[in-house]
Amino acid sequence: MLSIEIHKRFVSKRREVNIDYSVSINSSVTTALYGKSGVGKSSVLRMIAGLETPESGNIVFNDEQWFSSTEKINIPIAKRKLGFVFQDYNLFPNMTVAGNLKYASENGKIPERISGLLNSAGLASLMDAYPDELSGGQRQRIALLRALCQEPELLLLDEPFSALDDEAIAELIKEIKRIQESLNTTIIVVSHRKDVIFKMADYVVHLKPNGEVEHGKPEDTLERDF
Amino acid sequence: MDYTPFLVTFKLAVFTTLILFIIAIPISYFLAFSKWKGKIILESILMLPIILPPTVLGFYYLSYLGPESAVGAFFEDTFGISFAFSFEGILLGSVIYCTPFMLSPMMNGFRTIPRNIVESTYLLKKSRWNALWHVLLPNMKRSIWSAVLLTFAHTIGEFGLVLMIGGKMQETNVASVAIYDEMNSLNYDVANNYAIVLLCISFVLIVALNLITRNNRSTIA
Repeated sequence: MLSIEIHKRFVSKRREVNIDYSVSINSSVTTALYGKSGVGKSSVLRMIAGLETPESGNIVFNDEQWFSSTEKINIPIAKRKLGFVFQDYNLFPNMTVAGNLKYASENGKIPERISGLLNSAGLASLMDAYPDELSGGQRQRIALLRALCQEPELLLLDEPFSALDDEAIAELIKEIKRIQESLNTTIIVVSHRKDVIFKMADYVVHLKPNGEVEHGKPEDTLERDF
Repeated sequence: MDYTPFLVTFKLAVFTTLILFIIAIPISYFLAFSKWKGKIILESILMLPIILPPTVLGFYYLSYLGPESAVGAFFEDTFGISFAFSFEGILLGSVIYCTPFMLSPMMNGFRTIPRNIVESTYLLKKSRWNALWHVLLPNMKRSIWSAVLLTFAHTIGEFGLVLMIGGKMQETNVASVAIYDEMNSLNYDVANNYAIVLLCISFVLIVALNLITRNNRSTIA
């Protein structure tokens, strides 16, 4: 279980963003953070990862306190047992696919289960390719597998579909579902696309500008208006 | 033609570039990523030689490090090192004067690397040192080459500062100063020979800079 209660106020793109949310997310399922642009979905994800620091609040994952403003706890990123996939620029351009995966792996050796996922996803033939030789979809799928190399208990995906076409989105969703089924990882994905959320998420946390949070199954929480 | 001025010039350029390369990596990393508010002042001081007349730098250099100064006298008496009218002197002056030419491209290189790439290294539990050597520096090869070639080329062309700090000694007689001396002695043919060689070297360096910094695959900056 991931429990977050965070507060942060900042200016982004000349607009004041006021993040004030209290959310609980179940383990071993895929949860989508949904909300209009500017509600702070990505910032919430970055605060969970430790890339940004809340002004106040708590972040607790599986009974482990990652952040507490009152107790002055702020666990470093490296100790948070998580994987993170950004919208773009995930892979290191100077390394091949194999290089990226080896660099992410603890002893420089790609874990067997990641090799297995590469094979079953048909990505094994791309091992010697550089990121600029891959399609956007392939890059994101490799980034997803790279994030798994350190066996994270929590996988955070920040708008991973934004730069992809429908075909690539379908492949990436398939990949995320396969990972969810085989590894039982807790996945949180930020997306503003309802169609994607209906296809892949078990639960939705709908963040609203006034700090209100609505959560539940996609069909109970979001209108199917696409 | 006496080739000594070219040997001195190359020795000066190689050492200046090497020293600045080593110094500039940590400084430019700090200036690019640090959130320290005072860094604008530090950056401005380090960039000053870009607009500062070499004579101003030379004047203060000799005032504070020359043989008449307390620091200069201390180093000469204690370690036997002279910061003026010696190769070590023009080397130190050259390092100070060329700092912006190494630092600026390196800082731009670090700043051009997308934030996601830098943050990915943190998320993969890599130390700053590991990320610097395996991810950041390899992804800014163009900036590094620009910095190295610009510094090297600029050192080769140095004149005023070297003339002030180096005086007229054989070990400090770089090619640009040799041209000036030959001109003053009305030896136009010799000056012309020196000038042609410097012109060719400068042209080759600029072509190399353009070639290397263009379309370098698998690098960002």
